[in-house]
Amino acid sequence: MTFDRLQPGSVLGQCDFEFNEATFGEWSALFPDDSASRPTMPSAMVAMVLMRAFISIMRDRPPGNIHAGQKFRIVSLPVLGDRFTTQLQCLSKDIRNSRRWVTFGSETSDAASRPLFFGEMTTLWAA
Amino acid sequence: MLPINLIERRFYVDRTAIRCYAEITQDYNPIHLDPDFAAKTSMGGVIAHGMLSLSLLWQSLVATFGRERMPGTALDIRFVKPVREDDWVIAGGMKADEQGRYDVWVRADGNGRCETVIAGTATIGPPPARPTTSASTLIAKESP
Repeated sequence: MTFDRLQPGSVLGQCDFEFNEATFGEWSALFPDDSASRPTMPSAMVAMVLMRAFISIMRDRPPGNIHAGQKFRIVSLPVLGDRFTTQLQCLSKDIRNSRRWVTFGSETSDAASRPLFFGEMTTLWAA
Repeated sequence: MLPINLIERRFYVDRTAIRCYAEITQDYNPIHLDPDFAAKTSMGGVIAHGMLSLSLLWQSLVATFGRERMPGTALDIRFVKPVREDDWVIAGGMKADEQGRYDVWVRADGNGRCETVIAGTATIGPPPARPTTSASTLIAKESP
């Protein structure tokens, strides 16, 4: 997905996720302090959920993009066994100082469509 | 009363941690993993995932306010400079106002430098609501 093809306002896709023991174990191996969060998902894992959704939805992105800024707002955090969905949207794009800036928005909702957390990711797009 | 400073958290970013974070997030961007590719970019070499260091800020907030304050909490940050292999990253912050806003940062210490790599603000969520069925409420309800 090149800069020219990104359309501000368009929904790019969605990604389903389950917060399970395997994922929690991987995370806790890297950040042992977060294991105390059990059974609730550690707040830092909102970034992991966003990145997995982004990687899954934006499969044909150019290599070498740079993550420049990030916003998160947590409404609620899932617990082990919960399933949820992250929807990704292109919020804006523009060229400043010969650099391609793209901002993506994400909304993660539980199985009943209640919002869990929101993200906004600003990137320098490589191509 | 809100604390003036956040409780700091530290983490050592080595190649293993970067690889591990790539696997967890499935973000195999070569700028994080391929020294030859990364050397040809504007970064001039391998950098860690920004979100890896951002994790430490969440952990600083949790250490300071507890997990129950995370719902309602918001972060707004910029990745100012890259974190490189074998940097220590330290996350913390300072109260900006009495409404729960904090200026937050992550600093990298290593490779002959000590500088801010993430900067921004955190707005802390409200304390969780107290149970409505407290002992005093029950007594009041049961009183004639």
